[in-house]
Amino acid sequence: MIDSFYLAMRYLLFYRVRSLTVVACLVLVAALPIGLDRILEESERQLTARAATTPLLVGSKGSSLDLVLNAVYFGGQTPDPISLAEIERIEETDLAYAIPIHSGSFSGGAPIIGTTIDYFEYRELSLAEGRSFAILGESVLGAGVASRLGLRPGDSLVSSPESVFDLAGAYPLKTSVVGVLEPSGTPDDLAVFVDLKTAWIMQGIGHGHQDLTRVQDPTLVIERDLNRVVASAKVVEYQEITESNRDSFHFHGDQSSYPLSAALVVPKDERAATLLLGRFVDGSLDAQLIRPRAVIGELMETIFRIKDILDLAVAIVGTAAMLALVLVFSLSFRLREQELRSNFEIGASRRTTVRLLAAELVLLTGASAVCVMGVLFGLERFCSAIVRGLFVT
Amino acid sequence: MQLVSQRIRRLGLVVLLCTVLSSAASVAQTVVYTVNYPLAYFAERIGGETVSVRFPAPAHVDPAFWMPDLEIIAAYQAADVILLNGAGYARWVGQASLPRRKLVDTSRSFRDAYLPGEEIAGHQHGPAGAHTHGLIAFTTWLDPQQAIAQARSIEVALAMHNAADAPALARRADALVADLEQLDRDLATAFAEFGEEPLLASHPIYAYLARRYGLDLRSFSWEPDLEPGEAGWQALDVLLAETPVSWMLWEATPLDSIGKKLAARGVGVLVYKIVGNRPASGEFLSVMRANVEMLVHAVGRATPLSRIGSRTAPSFSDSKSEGVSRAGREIAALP
Amino acid sequence: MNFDKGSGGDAGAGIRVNGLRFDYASDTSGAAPFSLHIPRLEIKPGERIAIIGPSGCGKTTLLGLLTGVLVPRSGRVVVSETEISGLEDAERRRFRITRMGLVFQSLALVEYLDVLDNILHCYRITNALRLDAAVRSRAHSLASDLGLADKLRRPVGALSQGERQRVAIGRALLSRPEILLTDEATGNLDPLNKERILDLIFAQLEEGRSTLVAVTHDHELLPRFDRVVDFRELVGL
Repeated sequence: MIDSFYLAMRYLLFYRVRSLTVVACLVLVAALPIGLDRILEESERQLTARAATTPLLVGSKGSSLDLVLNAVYFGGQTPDPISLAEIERIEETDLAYAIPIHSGSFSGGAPIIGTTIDYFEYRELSLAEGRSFAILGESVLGAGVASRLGLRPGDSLVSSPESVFDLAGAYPLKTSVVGVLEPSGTPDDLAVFVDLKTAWIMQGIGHGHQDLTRVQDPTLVIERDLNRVVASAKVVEYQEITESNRDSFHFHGDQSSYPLSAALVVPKDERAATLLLGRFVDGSLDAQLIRPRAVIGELMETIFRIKDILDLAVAIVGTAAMLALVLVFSLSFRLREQELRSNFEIGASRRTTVRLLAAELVLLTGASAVCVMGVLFGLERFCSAIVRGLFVT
Repeated sequence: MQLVSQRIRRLGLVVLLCTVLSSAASVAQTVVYTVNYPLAYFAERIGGETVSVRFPAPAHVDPAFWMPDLEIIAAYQAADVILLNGAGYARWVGQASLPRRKLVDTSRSFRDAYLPGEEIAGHQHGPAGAHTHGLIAFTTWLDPQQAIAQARSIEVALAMHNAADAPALARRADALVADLEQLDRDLATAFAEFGEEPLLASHPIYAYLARRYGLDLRSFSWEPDLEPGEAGWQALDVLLAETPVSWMLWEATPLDSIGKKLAARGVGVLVYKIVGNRPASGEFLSVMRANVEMLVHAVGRATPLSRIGSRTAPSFSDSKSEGVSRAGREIAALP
Repeated sequence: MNFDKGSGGDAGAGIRVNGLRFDYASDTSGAAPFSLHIPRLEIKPGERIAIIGPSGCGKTTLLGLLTGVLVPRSGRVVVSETEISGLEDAERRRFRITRMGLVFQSLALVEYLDVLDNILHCYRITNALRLDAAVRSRAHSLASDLGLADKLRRPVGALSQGERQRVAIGRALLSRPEILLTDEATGNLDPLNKERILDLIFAQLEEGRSTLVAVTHDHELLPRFDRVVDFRELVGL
């Protein structure tokens, strides 16, 4: 039998392209369904875990999935905004507290999330370097962002709006990096965090400029009286908040009307959560209050329904692949007819042919099994990171 | 026998030590940071030993315009409760990152009743742009009823943080409210003696006082340590020509020269301290009581005032003794 | 039945054929079926005979019958006192691989094996022969005699026609067969190489005193054989 394996090995090595193709085919057929299962299982675990730590979410009416993806996972499109007044209303009930979330700006491809420092405490995020933001114009980086952009406390980064066409409002704002978070294995690793007010400045709601009551250049002022100065569009706004100009930064209008993308709502208990949800259920309010876990649960159900169809497709493709392999083997057998005939004429026994082909099959199957184990081992080891890379960004 | 008594004494000491240690361990103080002195006083009165109140603004600055450094901001961030005055008080709050969950806007319950403050020129961008307003009057505590509302807000915040202590907090809050109610009655009596005559104010910081007691208060923007200038005096003269005025409220004693010029115009100086920061001596209520006495003395009536009580407020951990008193002669002050 | 050979040095096997009849069944092309009738053929042990005849007359079929690849309809084929025509298929295979050496007209080398592995091939496709160190040593020696010592690890596809034929001869001779049967072993070679191949074969056969049955078209080589058998006379044409 050893000789049969030797001859089979020489044959497979001689026709290595064909052999590798067969092995690759077998590996795909075997590893694909198992790998898909594993990735989906890990996806469900990560998505659900993140959603489970966000008891309630308030945001604009519309797609609850889009809302969750943006506010909890910092992905997808920025939803229509709600006003700060929405969360003030929730807080006035004394049933919960809210952590505002503002998105829409980016820096180096990373989303900039405007929030309050409550967010770090709630998400149990600790600092690896530096400190949390304390004043306007400071930022804290997720571990992944810091690593990717090579930034540390003391460095700076510049914001850019979500849309390059947002010429009317948002201007690039340079912020100082004051802290870097410890890796958490969550979307927080890939985000930049700033104070909510800094985010509003990035959006153009707040800004800083020279004191208009003291400017001498007449082209900067359209109209002036004792109580009011109307500035022209020529007034240049500061692109960076520094110690010398911080006092000049201000906001116009009523802060309760300022926009948020969403807010994490943390109820005191389940009863409080139910009461809050009851207030939003009739749809008369301008916002929706949802349970992210339920939304993600529905998403996973849909994904697993699709997966069932995918499994069927994989099974069909796998069957086709196996049939193709059978065809390949049978064609190969016919191509070797002369060799096998010669073996017979030399005096090889009938079992020699069977042993040769069996050895070839065993080697191919064995090599495929080793590759499948390698692929699945690698997948198991890096599954968490792969899923994060697929869904977190 | 001697040995037995020694052993009993030792046992007693051990029991006492254990009691003290266990009671110290069971009381975890709530760390409270405030943006001004009145709130710190209220928190101390209400919280008692269950709170550790911090008000880190230096004694020589006006807390409304003070900017803490990063270290102090970090200390605020780490507090259990942060008491804000509301009404735009403490500009630094708008620039700092404070945990929203720990913030308590003590004047939220009457925010619809805010009054405009100092008139400054606002600005807007473009003819149709949103504009900045002038300041809102932020010395809300000068109206004792509003001070009571702020104190109740503090009581609720402390009770939410430590529900087990709610009954004791309520008792202490009631005591403080009783004192503030009495102050309210005393101020009403004192101001009633001024009749319908308008009063002047060196700064538009007495708006809530004026509203509470129905004062016809005309405000300027004069500093106690700065001559108003010719334009300022002219404006005063124009006003005096229209309406006779006998008194001008000042937050601190003005320069002698100002006092003399006012006296020459028949206007007396009333130093009504607003106690935004720690007083050089005494505490919030004693200073307010002094304001009442000053008013009474000014109109030459000795109105018997109720005793507030023998209770003295605990001293603060960051307390400094400097006040905002000015050099110069105080025309009306406590004897 | 045990067909293990004795040690080298014994004389080659003799072959006797009596009343041999063989038919190929007619194929689907409609051509007339092929029949073969050999009344008698005797080859002495150690004899070197050449079988000549026109193409398609049945020479290769005769080799198939002599090796036991084909089974006659009637008659007897006795090789080395063993009637192989009466053996079962497995016995015939075993007899063939242990006692005979075959050089096919097509050479039938295994393209995915190198020169050495081709020479050793017979030992890997049967349990009747044992591949050990002695056999490997002989293979190296044989390759050296055949002028292939420096090409042992070369794929046979990279060899010239003459080199390939030497590999086929080496494979056939490795087991020291009692009978060597070749079918046009020098078919595509130039005259010089033909002589060389024949020299090699005769030298190896001399060592084991083996019998040689060579089917050939090449009349120039006939003088080198002990006897020339005209196939047409053999079948009585």
